[in-house]
Amino acid sequence: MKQFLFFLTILLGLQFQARAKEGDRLRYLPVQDAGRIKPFDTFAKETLELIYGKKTYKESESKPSVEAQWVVLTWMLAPESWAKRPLFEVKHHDLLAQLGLPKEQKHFTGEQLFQSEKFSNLMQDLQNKRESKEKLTPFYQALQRIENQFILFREMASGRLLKIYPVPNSDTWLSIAELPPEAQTSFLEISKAVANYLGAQTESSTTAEQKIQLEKALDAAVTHFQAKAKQSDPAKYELTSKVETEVLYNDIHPFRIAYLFYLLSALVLLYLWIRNAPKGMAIAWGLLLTGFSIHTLGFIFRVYLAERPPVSNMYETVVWASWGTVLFSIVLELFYKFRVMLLAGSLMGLFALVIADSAPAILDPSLQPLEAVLRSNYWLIVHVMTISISYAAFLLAFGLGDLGLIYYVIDAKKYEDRIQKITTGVYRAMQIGVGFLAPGIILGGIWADYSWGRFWGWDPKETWALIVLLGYIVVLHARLVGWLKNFGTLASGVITFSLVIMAWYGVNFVLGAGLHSYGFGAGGIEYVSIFVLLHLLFVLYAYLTNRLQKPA
Amino acid sequence: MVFKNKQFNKFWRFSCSFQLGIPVIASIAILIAWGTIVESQYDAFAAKKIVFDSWMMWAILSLLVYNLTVVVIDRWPWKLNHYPFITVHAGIIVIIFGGFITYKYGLDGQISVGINGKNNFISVPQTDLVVYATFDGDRYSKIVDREVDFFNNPPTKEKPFKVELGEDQIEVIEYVKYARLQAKVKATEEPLAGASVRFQLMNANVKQVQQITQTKKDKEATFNLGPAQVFLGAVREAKTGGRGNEIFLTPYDADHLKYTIFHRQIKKPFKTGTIKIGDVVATGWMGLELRLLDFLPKAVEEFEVTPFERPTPLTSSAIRIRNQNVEKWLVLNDVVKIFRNSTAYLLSYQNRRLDLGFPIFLKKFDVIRYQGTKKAMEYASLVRVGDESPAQIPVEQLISMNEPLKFNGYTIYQASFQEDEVTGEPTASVFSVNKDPGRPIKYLGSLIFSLGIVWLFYQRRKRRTAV
Repeated sequence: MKQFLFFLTILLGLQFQARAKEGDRLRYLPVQDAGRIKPFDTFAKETLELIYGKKTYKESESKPSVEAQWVVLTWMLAPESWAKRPLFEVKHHDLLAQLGLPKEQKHFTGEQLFQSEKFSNLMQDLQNKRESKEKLTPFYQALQRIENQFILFREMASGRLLKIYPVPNSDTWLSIAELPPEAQTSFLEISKAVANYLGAQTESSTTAEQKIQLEKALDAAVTHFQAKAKQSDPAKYELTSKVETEVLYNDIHPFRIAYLFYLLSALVLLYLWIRNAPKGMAIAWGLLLTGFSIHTLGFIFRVYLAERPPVSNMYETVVWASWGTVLFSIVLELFYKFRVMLLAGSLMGLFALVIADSAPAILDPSLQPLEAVLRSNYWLIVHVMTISISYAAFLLAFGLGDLGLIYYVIDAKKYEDRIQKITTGVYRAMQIGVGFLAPGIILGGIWADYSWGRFWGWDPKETWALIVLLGYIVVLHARLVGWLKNFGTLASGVITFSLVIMAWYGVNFVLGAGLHSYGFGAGGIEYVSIFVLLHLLFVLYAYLTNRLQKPA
Repeated sequence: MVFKNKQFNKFWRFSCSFQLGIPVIASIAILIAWGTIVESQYDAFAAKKIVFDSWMMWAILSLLVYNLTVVVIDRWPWKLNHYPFITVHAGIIVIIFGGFITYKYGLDGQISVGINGKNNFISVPQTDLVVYATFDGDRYSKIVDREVDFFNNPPTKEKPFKVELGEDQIEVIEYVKYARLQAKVKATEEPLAGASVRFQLMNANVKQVQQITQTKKDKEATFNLGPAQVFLGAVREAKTGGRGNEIFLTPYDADHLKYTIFHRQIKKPFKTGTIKIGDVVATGWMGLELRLLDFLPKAVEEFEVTPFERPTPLTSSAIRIRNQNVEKWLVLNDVVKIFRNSTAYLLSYQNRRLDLGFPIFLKKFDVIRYQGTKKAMEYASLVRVGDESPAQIPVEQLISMNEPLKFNGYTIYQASFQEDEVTGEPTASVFSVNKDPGRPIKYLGSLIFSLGIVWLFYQRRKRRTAV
C-alpha cells in the first residue's frame, strides 16, 4: 500500500506543478493538427521534434535549453532571428557529404541547407524519383525529410500551420494567417505578451515580481483569445476538453517514471539473486508493481486521449509488449518463485521502454489517427494485441536466455540449479508466446477474411508472424524430443528472438524500405543488426567457453 | 504402431519422426521468408507466382501434411492423453486442406463501379490472349481465346508463343514483366489506319499541347478541354440539347485539314476553312487559339517500351507480338490492331473478366475524412445488386469497410475508392469480390486447432520444471 501512496503523491505533485505555473496557459491552447485536436504543447513538441529531433532547443552547450512552445512560436513571430541558428537536424552521412556539410555536426542553419545549388539539384533528383514513382532509398528518404522540415518551418513561419480558430460550416479550423480581423487583434495581444515575456527573460534586471506580471499578462491574452475562438463555434470548442489531460500526460511522462522503477527493481533483484539473500523480495515487488502501475496508467492515458487501443504503430506495440513482458514475469514468478523471472521481466521492461523513449525519430510517440480499415474493426486491433503480447513472452524468454547463458560463461557446473530454473522460465515463456501467437494469427486470418475477403494473403507481416510461430514450434518440439538440452533451449531463446525482431521491426523497416537500398538506414537498421549480431556472437562465445570447461 | 515388415517399419518411423518434421517446418519457414523478400523487391504478384503458389510450396506442404497424418495415425489406439496432441495436428491438416480448396476452386477479383454507374464484370489475376478478326472493319468476331501465363513461361524470339490463324499466324516473341510505356504516334502505310493531329490550345491562361489519333479510318477521336471540345473527323449533327463549343478537324488531303468551329447553342458554324501544319486559328472563345503542330493522314498509336528491373506504380507487363514482318508492343489490358489486306485483327492481352451474372449499381458513395485532412476515416458504398429477373431478388445495402455484402454465393467487400486527381472528390468505388469454397474448411480447422492448443495447455505436466 505504501508504494501506491507514494505513487499517488508523485502524480498529485506533478499535477499541482503543472496547474499552478503562471504563463502556462499558452500550452493548453487547442490546435487542430494531423486530424485531431491537440494542445499547443503537444503540437510544439512534435513540430520541434520533426525539425530539430528533440523536444527542447539548445543552441549551444553554453546556452540554456528553450522549451518547445517558445521556439515554435518565435519561428512565426520572428522568423528572421532563426536564419542563422542551427535548427535543422540532418543525420544521413552520405547526404551531408553530397551537400558539402561537415559530418560531425548534427544541426544546420536554413542558410547552410537550403540556399546551396547542390540542394536544389538534389531536390530535382528527388522530384524525378517521385515522378517515376520508384521506391525511395534511405538517401532520398533523408532528403525528403529535409524537404519536410523546410516546408514545416516555412508553413509555421507564415502562420498557415497553426490552426487554432474553429469556424462553423467547415471541418478545417482557421490558421493564424486566415484569422478574421478581431481574432487577429486578439492573437496579436498574445504575440506581444510573448515578446515581452521572452524579452524580460534575457534581461538580468527583471525582478521576480515583474516576471510574474508578464506571465499573468500572457495568460490573460491567451484566455481572451480562447474566449473569442469559443464564440466563433462553441460546439467545436466543447470537444477540446481533453487538451488539459494531454498536457498532464506530456508533463508526467509516465513511461519514463515506469522504467526508472523497473531499473530500481532490477537492481534490487540482481542483488537478491546473486547474493541469494533470504529477505528483500518485498522491496523488489513493491518497486516493480509501482513501475507496472505507472506503466498501466500511461496506457490508460493514451487510450483515453486517442480513443482506441494503443497498438497502432511500432512505438505503441513496444510499450505494450514491454508491459506484457512484465506481466508474464509477474505471473511466472508467482507460480515458480524463482526470483529470476521477475529479474528478467524488469530488465526487459526497462530495456524496451528505454528504447521506445529514446528513439522518437524511429518509434514515433505521437498520437496519430488510424487508417480506415483498422478504425472500423475493433477485432483487428484485438488480434494485433494478441500477437504483440506473444512477442512480449518471447522477449521474456530472450531476457532469461541471456541471463542463463551468462552462467554458462561463468561456470555451468557450479550453477546447474540456477540454469535449470532459468531454462524452465525460457521454456514456459516460449509456451506462453506460442499459446498467444497461434490463436493471434488465426484471429488475424478470420478478421482479414471478414474485412478483406481473404483468410491468408501472404502479406509480409502475417507471413513473418507465421515464421516466428514455426521457429518457436521447432524449438519446443526439439526440446520435447530431447534434441535441445538446457544450453540449447537457452540459446534458442536468444537466437529465435531474431525472428521476432524481423517480424516486428524488420518487416516495417527493412522489407518496407526495400532490401535493395543500401547505405545508412534512416530507421536504425544498423543498430538493430548490431544488436542481433552481438547476441549471436554471445551465444557462440557461451557455447565455446562451455565446451572448454568440460573435461575432455 | 509397429509393422512386421522391417523395411516398412523403418520407413514408417522416419515418416512420423522429427527427423522429417523439423526440417520440413524449417524449410517452410525459409521458403516463405524468401517469399517476403521477393515481395519487397518486386511485388506481391511476383511473390505469389515465384514462391507462394509454386510447386515447391505445395510439395513441402504435402510433406508436412503427410508427416502430420502419419504422426496422428501412429498414436493409434488413441488414449485420452493423446487427444490434445491429435486435435492440434489434425487442425493444421484441415487448415492446409482448406487452403488448397481455396487455391483450386476459389475466386478472387476486383470490380470498380463509377458513382451512379453499374458493372457486372470482375477482373481476376489470370491473363488471356484474345484475338478478334474483322473483314468489313465494323463487326468483329472472336477467333481465339487462350489462357496464358507469360510470367512463369515467358516467350522468347527463339521459343515464341504461337497463335495460329488459318494461313496467318501471330507470334508473341518477348515478355517484359515491368515495362514503362510511352505512347508514340507513327506514320503508317496501312490502308485502314486513321489520322492523327497534334495541336496547341492557348490563351493568356491556358497553354496545352494535345495529340489525338483515330483508332481507324474515319473513326472520330475527341479531346475534351471542359468548356470546349476538339474532334478529329467529319462534322456531325448537333446533339440533343444543342451544340457546345466545338471544333471539327476533318482530314482533307495529305497536308491539309478542314476546320469547322461552332459556338455554344448556335447552329451555324462560326468559322470554316482549311489549315496546315504551323497555322493558327482563333476560335472566338475566351481568346483561345488553336495551332496545328502536326498532322499525319495515316497514323497508328504505338507504345515504346522501356523495361525496368523492378515494378513501380507506373509499370505494367507488356508483350511484343510479330505478324509477318510487323512487330508491335502490347501492354496488359490493352488492344492492338493488325491490318492485313482484306482483314484486320484485334489482339487483346488482358486480365480475365468474368461475368458475375448480376450487375452492381453504385447508388451513393460517401467518404468521411479526419478533420482538416485528406485522410479517409471511413467510407461506404450504397449499392443495389441483382436485376429484375425472376431468378434474382435485387438487394440494396450499404457496404462499408468490414461490412461486406453476401449475394448469390459471392461476398462483396469495400476495398478502396478512386478520386479525381484535381478535386479529390471520389469518382468510383472499388470492391473485391470473392467466392471461397475452402472457407468453412479453414474455419473448422482453425477451431479444431485452437481447441487443441487450449487443451494442450490444460494438460497436466508431470514435472514442475521444463521437461
